[in-house]
Amino acid sequence: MEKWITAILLKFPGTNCDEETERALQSVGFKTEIWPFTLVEPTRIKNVDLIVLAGGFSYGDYIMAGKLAQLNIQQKLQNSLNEFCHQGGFLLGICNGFQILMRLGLLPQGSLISNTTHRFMCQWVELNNKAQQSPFLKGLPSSFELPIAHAEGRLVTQAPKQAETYLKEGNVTLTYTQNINGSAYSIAGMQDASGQVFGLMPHPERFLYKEHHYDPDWAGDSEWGWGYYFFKGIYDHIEAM
Amino acid sequence: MQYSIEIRNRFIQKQKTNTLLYTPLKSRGAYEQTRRYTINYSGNKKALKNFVREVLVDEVSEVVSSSLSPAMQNFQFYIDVSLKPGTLNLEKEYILNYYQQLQAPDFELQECTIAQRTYIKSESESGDLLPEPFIRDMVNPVIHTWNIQYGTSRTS
Repeated sequence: MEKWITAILLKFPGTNCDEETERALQSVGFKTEIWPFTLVEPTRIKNVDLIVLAGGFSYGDYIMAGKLAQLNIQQKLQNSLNEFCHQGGFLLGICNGFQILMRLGLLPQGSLISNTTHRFMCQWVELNNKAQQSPFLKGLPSSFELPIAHAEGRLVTQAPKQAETYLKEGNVTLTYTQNINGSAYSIAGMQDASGQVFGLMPHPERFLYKEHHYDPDWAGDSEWGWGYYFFKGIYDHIEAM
Repeated sequence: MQYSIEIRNRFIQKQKTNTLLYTPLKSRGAYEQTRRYTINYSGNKKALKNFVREVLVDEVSEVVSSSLSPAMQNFQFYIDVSLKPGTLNLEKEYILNYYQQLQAPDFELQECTIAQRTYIKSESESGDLLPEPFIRDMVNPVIHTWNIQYGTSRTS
């Protein structure tokens, strides 16, 4: 019997990037389901390979972006998520999902706050790949472009030097080549020590096909955008396990 | 009993007041914003404080003041803007919903009022800033209530 590699997307009130993220996951081979958070049973996540927290504005970004989703996950799923990661499961947070993972303490301590521009920023950015061994990034070049769309993407840490430590210890996976939002050390993505929990502010699902690129003559790949290789990397990694 | 806190982000710098307004003013000014929560409760105050810190505060980036005096100094005036009672207040709904799901919280949360506080500071030698343009552009009188308090740096 064929073994499917499964990914589920947790959908909170206000999550709005779940469908395009699901499409991206399916394009690389994942069998996917979108689960409204109120219907999630802790026992159901046991048999899943990848849990995705997609982008959007969970719970209207009230209090702070990702805060209420964090509280609700803690109340309902925290132990199951810890167990899921302990058993080798992968956890991905994109944009709002990254904010939630950060607040949950599943990534090194920090917070994603308002951009220094004090504006919602929606543009393409160039990124440095700082973790080419990461299952998510191993199919990507040393620098590549993805779109961002966020108001609260500036990473700050309790102590000023903490972000430098994350950089030295390999927790930082992506940095902006130009620091567009004031993030400490231009950090755009992080992972935990195991590499299983991965969060990033840019949206890989929005650059699935080459036609998604703003330059119609973009020649990075004949068919796919960099986002495809982001999701393909984790799919291939799980398949090879 | 009542418990009030004011929360401000320690990383966010003051901004130009004209970014709040549709029509720029000649007088230069700066503003900073905080969130103020006033909670009516009964029961264990320590349990309430723990709840407040857990739910409303980001320990990495925010600082909390539970004093009755304003969290900021040297302002010309501040404006508290809240949703009117009876208006759908989703932030409040989500907070109360989270509270209701707690098992044995050891306190009863009876009411929660949320206000966004905007401190206005004059940076102009040509004169003080007046609250009216800010009220006009920041407040929707259909759904909001507001309150103005003047500070010590007022010169006229």
